[in-house]
Amino acid sequence: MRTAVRLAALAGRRLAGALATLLAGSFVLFAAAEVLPGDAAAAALGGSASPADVARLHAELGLDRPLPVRYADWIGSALSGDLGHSLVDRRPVSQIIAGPLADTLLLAGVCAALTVVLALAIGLAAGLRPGSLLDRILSGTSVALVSVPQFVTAGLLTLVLASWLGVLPAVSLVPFGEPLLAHPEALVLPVTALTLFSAAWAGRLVRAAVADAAATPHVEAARLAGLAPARVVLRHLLPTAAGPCAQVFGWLTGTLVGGTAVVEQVFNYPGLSNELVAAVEHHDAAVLEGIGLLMAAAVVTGLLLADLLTAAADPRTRTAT
Amino acid sequence: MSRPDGVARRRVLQWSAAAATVAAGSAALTGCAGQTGGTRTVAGSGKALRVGASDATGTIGLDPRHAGFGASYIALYHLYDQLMYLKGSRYELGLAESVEPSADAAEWTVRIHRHAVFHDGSPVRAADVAYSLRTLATPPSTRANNFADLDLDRLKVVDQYTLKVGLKRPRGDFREGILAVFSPVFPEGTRDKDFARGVGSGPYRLEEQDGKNLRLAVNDKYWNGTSHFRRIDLSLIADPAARLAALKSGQIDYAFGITATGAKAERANRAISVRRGHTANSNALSFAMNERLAPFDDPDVRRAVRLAADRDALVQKVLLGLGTPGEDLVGKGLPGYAGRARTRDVAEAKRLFARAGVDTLELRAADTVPGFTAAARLLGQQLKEAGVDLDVRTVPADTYYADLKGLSRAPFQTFYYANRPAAVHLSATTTKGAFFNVTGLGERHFKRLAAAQATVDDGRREAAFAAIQRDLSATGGDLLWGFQEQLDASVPGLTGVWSSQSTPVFTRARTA
Repeated sequence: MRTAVRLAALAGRRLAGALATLLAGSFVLFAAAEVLPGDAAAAALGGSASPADVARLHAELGLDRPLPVRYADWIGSALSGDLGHSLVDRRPVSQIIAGPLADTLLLAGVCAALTVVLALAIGLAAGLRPGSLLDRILSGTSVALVSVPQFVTAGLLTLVLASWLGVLPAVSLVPFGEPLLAHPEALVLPVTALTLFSAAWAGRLVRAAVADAAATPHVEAARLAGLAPARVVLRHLLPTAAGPCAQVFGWLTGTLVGGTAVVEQVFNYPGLSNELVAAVEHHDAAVLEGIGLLMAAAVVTGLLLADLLTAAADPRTRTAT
Repeated sequence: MSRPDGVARRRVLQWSAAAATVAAGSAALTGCAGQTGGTRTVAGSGKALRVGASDATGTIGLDPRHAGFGASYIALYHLYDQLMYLKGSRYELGLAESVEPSADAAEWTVRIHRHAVFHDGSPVRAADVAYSLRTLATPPSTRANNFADLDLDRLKVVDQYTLKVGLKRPRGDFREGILAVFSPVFPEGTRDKDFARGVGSGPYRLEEQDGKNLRLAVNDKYWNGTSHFRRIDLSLIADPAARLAALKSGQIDYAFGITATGAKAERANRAISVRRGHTANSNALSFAMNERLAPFDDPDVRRAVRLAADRDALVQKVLLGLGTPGEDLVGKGLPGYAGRARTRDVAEAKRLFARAGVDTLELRAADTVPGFTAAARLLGQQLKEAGVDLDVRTVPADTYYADLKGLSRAPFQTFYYANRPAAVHLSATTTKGAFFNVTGLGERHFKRLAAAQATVDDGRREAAFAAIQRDLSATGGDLLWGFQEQLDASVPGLTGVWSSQSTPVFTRARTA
């Protein structure tokens, strides 16, 4: 009971901290989007616009007000769920990003689920016997996958599976009005490319956590006491490794949402990165800020969950303030 | 390989540079995720042609006032009739049956085809044409600059099929300089959200769009005959490598815009056919010298830079040979071009540089066209042979045109134009009010150009434009070294695709 109360208090503190972080981050984001060279009004009007046209559109879009005022306006609306309107085509930002966001979350979600399973399997297989042949094979492969740029991995997958073998579509095109889920084959290549990378990355960190846990005295003692290996892993090793693993998976949540960009470009996946690239090109600060805020929120949420999971897994952190 | 949307960015800038421009709209992507390798039968049957393209705006917009180069333009060319077209190397009548000048070319009479009908069943009338011109000529239309010489108060509907267009000043080149550049016609009263319905009188009508896909269905009642393909499915695929991969795996039949590297790599691949735009559909790549700024205010320095450049080497190395050497003028391969072959003369360049006391130059370079900074470095080596050190200052490509002050203040920078007939190019980009005057053209040029534009007699006008070109080629500010072709790819056996200002049109397309 006492533990539950402490956990709830910790969750409260962490949540407040996360919100403060997000707020600070949002200001940096807003300021950064505003100081980007170029101008949404000029971009929207195009090359033939006169300075007077640009000034008029500036006023119309409210871009002539001071930065702090505009920020306060924006963050106020954003907190109530209104991300404003695109500076380029005036559609609501939430409407522009809703569809792509769902598709990106689907991609990131499937990858996260696969990554957790794979990373645990890799981490345990490699970390329980550090230096073994299996460990060397898995660690070597992981290092290779992490160090090769993602677009190279993605390109190779396309070349082999789409161009040569012809078993999968090269790019993710989905027929009219149909949900992406109705065409799971369009997901296979993007998911594979993204998961190969994140499972290799997370697997290495899990391996380190497992190896550290395996070397702790109480796990050593349990093993020496002659407990069955499965029992040693489940009752003694995993609880010790759970904290660091939770951190890894917390990080993963955030990085996956942000990390889909390369994969989305290569496979023309209908996610957020297309909107992000377009927003940057058109100096559409409103869309840029909306997407940025969502991504920041994803990262902060991931880290928050990681902290809470760590706390839940490790009794010592519960008392830490 | 995953360079984000280079073509789109390049094109949006190309249009800006042509003082034409761009903005937004909505809807893209075609459906065939289920189809994998080897499914090339759809195009073969004449049922549907699946096209993959990027778009300058990131979406397929159907509003002609803001259309972006790429997928939006492809949609536009099929949904709407234009009064006139630039077709490869010619200008041609479209919806207009005739376009005739008054004696002084200050008023033009436009007659339209009598059998043209909009997709909603209503006939196309002169009033619709007048409304369309008025809408395109008025902000927020980003194309207003193209119609700046139209006197909207003197836009008169004479009868159902005839319209008089008054101009603020005589324009002998009204047809090729204004109408052929851009003149889509939509029903009177079309405004804002109505454009999303894509109602025009073109050879295809809008069947479906869901914000991600665009499907066009053939217009069987089209006044100028029906097209072979029953449908055109247009997909937005931003990355050129992804477009090529989609074509190779059979997901699309036509990839709009691939890279020179891609074209080279697929040369021997018989499963696809690379379609070269040649000079008629290309970008004219230049190192622009501003003749109002030192040291380029000295004509000798401009001449020396041009003499020092090895254009063949630039085309071979930067464009991988998929291009044509330039002669400092836009319009090569198109009517009215008056350029002459250039020869390199390092010794003379060296002498001129020495006499002008120039031993270092600074060039502002950005990859607004992929390879521009590489070209700048190569030029540096070539100038070195003439005794000049070139300091290449690279700037980010995506903000290059946003920094307008930087553009006008840079004495020497990378710049490019859409290759269009010389008269069109001069009228669209080198008039007094044009947006980017990166070579520092002055009053003298503006006056000569205005006089040439006002000349009614076609032969005399052409001669006047040729004289301007000769002048620019002798002393102008562009070191225009090469033409980079528009490169597309398609399934083999697709014939009859024609291009207008690098945009492919499929109205006459067939498969063998």
